[in-house]
Amino acid sequence: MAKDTITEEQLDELFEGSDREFAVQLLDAYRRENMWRYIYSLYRSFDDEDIHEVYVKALEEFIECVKKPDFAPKAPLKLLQHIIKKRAIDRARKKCGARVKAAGDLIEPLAADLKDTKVGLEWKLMFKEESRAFRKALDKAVDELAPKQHVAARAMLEVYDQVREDDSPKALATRIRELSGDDCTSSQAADRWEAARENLKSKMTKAGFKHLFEDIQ
Amino acid sequence: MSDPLGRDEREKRAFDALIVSNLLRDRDHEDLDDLPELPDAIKAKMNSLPDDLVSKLWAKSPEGRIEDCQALEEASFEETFIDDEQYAGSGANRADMDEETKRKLDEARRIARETMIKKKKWNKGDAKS
Repeated sequence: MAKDTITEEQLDELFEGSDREFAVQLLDAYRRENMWRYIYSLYRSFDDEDIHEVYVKALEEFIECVKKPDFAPKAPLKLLQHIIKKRAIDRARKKCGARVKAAGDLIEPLAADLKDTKVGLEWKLMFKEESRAFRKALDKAVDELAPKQHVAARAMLEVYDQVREDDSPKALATRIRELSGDDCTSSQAADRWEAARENLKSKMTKAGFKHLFEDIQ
Repeated sequence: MSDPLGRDEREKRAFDALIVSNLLRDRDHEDLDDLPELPDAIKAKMNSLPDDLVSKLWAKSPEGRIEDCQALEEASFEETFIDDEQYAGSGANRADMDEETKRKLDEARRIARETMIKKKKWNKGDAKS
């Protein structure tokens, strides 16, 4: 796999040229890993076949566009990313009826939960570099969760708003059952999420973010 | 005024919100540091793709599935990216905003995006003086 040595501006220029097939070849050579990791970031339940299908289908659609003589993409990488996101959502829904959420869909319950808390304040006060480090550490911590906790975390991403609205882990239990086939009760779902939270808190504390969680018992 | 949840429960919920918001955030596909590492099996699959993948897809590419590529590209620019201020708050908690303020925020974001596109064109020497 080629190392990342081509800039976005260079790719933009290539797509304005006449040899667009070559431009797509270079895009694949230099940006494939970025795109695969992006797909994985959208839906952590994806396995290798899921990501492969999403990537190839998105590339096919992207190629169909760039082959059109009357179309010259202004931002080819952004276009590919957009197509990838649409295909990833389709795949996630087909795979297990996933309700794929974006942070923008949850802005009100998220804001309400963070408001007037130490966690929320510490997060607001974080410098950009520190928040980047936090995010990187969180990604790693989630991937290292034990299997049942990992499923609970994935499920929570999809039903967070429902759990808050109902003030109950019932939706979490339902989603865990759908994802894992486990016969999981509401009480067990709450315990699994609690265990995942404790595990993440421990890992993030070791990563240097203890000050965020000092008020959590 | 009494706090029905209790401080510990509120902090736990805030931590939940922090986890969820960070895992669901829009990622910068250009920044490998912002993207999670691939598990070994997925990485192996990625590396096993043929070198001539693009050539094969180019040769067989059927037409007619996408009618309006221009609209598709415009949609890619209209994706709303939520930044931290909007849910972590910093005097700009969107949950507390009225409709007029939300509209102004969205308008500012639209202008910023268009400026970015124009700046890109200018850098390529396409902008008229």
